[in-house]
Amino acid sequence: MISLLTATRLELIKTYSRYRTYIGFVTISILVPLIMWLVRKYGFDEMQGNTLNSLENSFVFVGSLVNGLLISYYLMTVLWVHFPFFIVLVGGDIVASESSAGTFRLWLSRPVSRFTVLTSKFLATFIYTSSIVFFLGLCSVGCGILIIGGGDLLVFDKGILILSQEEALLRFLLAYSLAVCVQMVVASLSFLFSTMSNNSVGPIIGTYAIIVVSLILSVLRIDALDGIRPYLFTSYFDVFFAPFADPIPWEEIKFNLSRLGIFIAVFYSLSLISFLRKDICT
Amino acid sequence: MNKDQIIQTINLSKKYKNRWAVTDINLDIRQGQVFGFLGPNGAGKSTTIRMLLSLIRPTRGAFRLFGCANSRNIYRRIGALIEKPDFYLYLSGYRNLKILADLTGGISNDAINEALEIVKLKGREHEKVKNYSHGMKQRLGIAQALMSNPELLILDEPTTGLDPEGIKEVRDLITDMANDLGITIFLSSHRLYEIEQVCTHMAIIDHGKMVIQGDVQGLLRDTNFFVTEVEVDNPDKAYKLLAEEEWIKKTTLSERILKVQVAGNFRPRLVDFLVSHDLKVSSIVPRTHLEDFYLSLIEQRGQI
Amino acid sequence: MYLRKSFRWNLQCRLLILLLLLTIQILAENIDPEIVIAKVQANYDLIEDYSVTARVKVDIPNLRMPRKKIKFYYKKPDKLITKTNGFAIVPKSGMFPVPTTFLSDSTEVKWTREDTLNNSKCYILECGYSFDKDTLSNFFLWINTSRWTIDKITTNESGIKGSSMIFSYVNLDGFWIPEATDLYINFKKGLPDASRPSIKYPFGFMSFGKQFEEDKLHGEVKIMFSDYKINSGLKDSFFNNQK
Repeated sequence: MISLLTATRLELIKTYSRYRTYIGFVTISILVPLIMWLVRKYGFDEMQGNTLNSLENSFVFVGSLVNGLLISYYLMTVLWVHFPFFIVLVGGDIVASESSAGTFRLWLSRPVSRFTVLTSKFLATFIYTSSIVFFLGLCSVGCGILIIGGGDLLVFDKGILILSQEEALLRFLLAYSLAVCVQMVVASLSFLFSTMSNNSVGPIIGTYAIIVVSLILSVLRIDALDGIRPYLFTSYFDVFFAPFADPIPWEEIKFNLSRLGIFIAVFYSLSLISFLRKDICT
Repeated sequence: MNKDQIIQTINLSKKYKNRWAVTDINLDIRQGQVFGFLGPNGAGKSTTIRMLLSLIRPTRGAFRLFGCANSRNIYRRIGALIEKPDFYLYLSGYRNLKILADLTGGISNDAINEALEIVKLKGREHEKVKNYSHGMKQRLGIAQALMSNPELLILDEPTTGLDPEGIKEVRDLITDMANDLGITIFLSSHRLYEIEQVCTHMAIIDHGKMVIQGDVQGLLRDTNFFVTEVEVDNPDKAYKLLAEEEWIKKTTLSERILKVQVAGNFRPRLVDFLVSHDLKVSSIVPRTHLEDFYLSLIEQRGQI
Repeated sequence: MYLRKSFRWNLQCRLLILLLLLTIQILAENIDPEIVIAKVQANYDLIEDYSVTARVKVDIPNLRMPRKKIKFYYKKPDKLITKTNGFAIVPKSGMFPVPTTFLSDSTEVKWTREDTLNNSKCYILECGYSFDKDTLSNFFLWINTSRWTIDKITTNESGIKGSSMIFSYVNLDGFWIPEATDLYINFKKGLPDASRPSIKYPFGFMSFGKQFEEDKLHGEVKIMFSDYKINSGLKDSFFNNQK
């Protein structure tokens, strides 16, 4: 039988042959340099002043904390609400579009099982998710350093923490790796909806609705919600900011990752059950 | 089981909710046969093919392909075209075939090009499929079924959407593949003439049940089903007279030609009968059309 | 009678001698601060330019930053360039204990007393200084009398505990130049408690209005100097180009 690797490669060819796959890449390529250029042109200096004003009487600041890394750091907040759109655009479409186009009939009359087909699609979704998340990271950190300039990174963690550029870059790498896991939860949820639907609009809207509602429930500090918060995947969405603590809270990262992993596994399993029972001929 | 048994179904049945789409279908298709699968719309032809291709699971019964049951690897030896072939519209025809070839494994680029050559898509293969006409997509569908040099070809309505020239080409292609390459072909079609022209064997199903199965010529001969076309000077009068005779199964009148369904040994009696009623017989031609046979069978089942 | 007279004379003489000695002592110890400052300043008058690498280690509550390397380039009278990879903080005054860099014309300086610091005799000068219109502060310079260097600076600022700077020196080409500076500083208000961005606080959380705990209002900065290059002939164009 055809190997999972071959099926995944073919999935990737299909995925990266579609225009919609590049919407996220193009948007990031335009928006991120534009933001960096605006910061360079109009500044962001109040950030440093507000943070360190109590030291101004005694110290002189050499260099600036407003640099490309700082803007990249704050750009990471888009990973919660805005960025998932690029993920569901592909994840919500990858199965549903083939159901509606009828192309599964051709695929599944070949020596390939439904498990292989779905798993290869899931792996392709994972690779797409990783590629676009790392593209955002590369674009934001790279453009930040090129357009605004590099330097130390000022972050908040039990006060003010200033990380050297080398240290910050390593932590960005770790942070974006964790962001892949976060976005994979989004991807696998949209993937689940995609297996249950014959058009991609439903999965995109459905996934987004769930993300927004879950975020609201995670943010609201209402005691009555304490019981359900651990079951909301959005409660673990901020794990990619953990690497910017000192020391890095590995236990916290491991805990959040395990929870995110459970959500991914559950969504994938449900997708598999749904797809194995799916009528692909209608 | 026989070594040359390519498709064997045993009480193959499929139920959708409360409706049985296919009930107890028993097919026996041997190597080298061009097997026609006939039946009206909704008879269960596509459902049977989908089960054979494992696109849906049988509710009851089983099937064997090349003597094997439940092995997906067997589909490497099968080329299939299911109804309207749906391709990735955003990819070129060639890229579509390449993906399916890689998915099947063991198909060279030369084989792809050869298949494109056969279906006369060479030169247009690098255009995106969304720019293809319906006929071109259908030919691409045939190409994808052919490119793996299959031992068994399952074709579900392969000439749908093709122009007359295309239909003839596909028909000739099927005949050539069966005759020259010895490929076993399982052909589902509404075109009775097509089945009659290219098939060596056939089965007719109706309402999900097998009506008849066997080799085409034998069936027509053994069922004692003959149609005699008669031209007389007064066809209306002849029609009325023949319709009243009990030894004549059925008479139809179309474009001044009488089609009389009567056993072969009754033909001299038919001529005598017409002459005795002062009718001048200008021609009498024995014909056995599958279409007539098929319609007759379906009608009989409807009466039951 | 004679004895009583003799005794009175003797006592008067003794008192006179004591008074004389006291007067001499007072006259001798009442050092002119301007002379002291001038002696310290003389240490550096022959330095036309210098460059030095400073390694700064900051230990301030709620502020963690890596050890930083800062390169300083100075040329008389007031050309100064600081270069660092990224960001660093350095003390606003007293980084280099050259009197003219932190004593303005309006600063009042007076001699207070003499003390010992690290087995060296020091004159302690009190300087009146105002940071701004509202905050009047004074600070004390501990001048090492053997090499005429400022070995310690302590400050008194209204409302907060005093801060201090301690310098240690090395002699290079006849110049006493700082080898290390330790700054012990107290703040009126500390740096905010802040947490990283989270689902609840997408841009992080800062408690600016919070009353800070006592132990969070004290910090230390240690600076180590190396790679001195004195009078290497730094050109004006170097400073202009760097701007």
